[in-house]
Amino acid sequence: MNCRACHLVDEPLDTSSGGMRTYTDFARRSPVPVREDGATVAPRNSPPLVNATLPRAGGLLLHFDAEFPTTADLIKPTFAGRNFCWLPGESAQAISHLAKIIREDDGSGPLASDFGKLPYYVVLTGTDPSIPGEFRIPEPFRVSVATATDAEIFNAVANLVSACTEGLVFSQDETGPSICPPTMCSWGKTACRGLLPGRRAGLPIAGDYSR
Amino acid sequence: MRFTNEHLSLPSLCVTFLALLSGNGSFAIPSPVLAQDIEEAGDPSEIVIGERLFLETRFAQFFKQFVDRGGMTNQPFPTGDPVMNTTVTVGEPFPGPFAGY
Ligand code: HEC
Repeated sequence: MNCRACHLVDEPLDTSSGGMRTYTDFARRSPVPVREDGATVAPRNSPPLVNATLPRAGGLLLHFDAEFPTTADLIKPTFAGRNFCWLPGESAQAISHLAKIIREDDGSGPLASDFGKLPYYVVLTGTDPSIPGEFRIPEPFRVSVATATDAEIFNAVANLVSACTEGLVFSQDETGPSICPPTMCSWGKTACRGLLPGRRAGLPIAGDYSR
Repeated sequence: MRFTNEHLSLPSLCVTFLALLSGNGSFAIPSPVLAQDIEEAGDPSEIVIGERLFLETRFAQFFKQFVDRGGMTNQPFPTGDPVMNTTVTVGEPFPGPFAGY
């Protein structure tokens, strides 16, 4: 399981019943991994994440029952909770398992190959001079993996995923986050195929994004 | 197998749209040069690495079960979590983008 399996983007573009998502899914209720509690789905489906964490009057309240006041507060129990296959009471195990992956990853996996083949401990420690600029995280996000506790590593991961989630915004102008004319709301295929002549030019879409 | 095409989908797109919208304040014909410049600037590194973590499948308890059975952190997963095999829709499911993970 990963966040993206429930918060989809361009993966299903070429599927007949699919289409572009703004980090949401296609289910009535998002399926969760099987465990002995018998649960098969989350209470709801995954909502879109684009613009979901914009600051707002009265403060941020995430999940539809207003469970969490910040993105990081949501992310920690998500990584250590039922969506990631952990039962209530297993969060200490979840945290130490996540920290173990960060410590032991050697950058050889298929995901790492899309991110410079750097082991997590190198990326999160952030001080190795050989880290290319695009992967060198700023100091406030770093954690010294060799000496950090499990909880410190877990917090650092939550902060990075928060940064990523909070970076998901529709276009804005100086008056605020309201711009989304219909032409832009259908940004999906158009954007991937035609509008962006930069690093997306000529790249295959969907299918190849994730498989 | 590729997890991503380029490092980020939306933040990059949004930055580009912002660029396309700025200037005279109206929705203009996209300028390829401007879009390219912005695209090449790339996303902040914390967002890039945050996305890698957003895509990471090994944090799940399903992978812990594999480790408990003697699996290693960097060893390819023999069989992924079955919940990832399909993407559920209100109609027919389609193949899950992370099947096998
Ligand atoms: C098994 C599916 C699943 C996974 C995995 C998952 N989510 Fe979600 N996500 C959901 C569902 C369902 C909701 C809605 C919950 C609710 O409203 O009670 C949600 C809600 C959210 C929200 C709140 C949006 C809002 O408007 O309130 C955020 C932010 C979010 N998820 C981020 C993440 C991140 C980051 C991860 C990975 C750490 C993740 N999710 C993993 C299913 C999932």
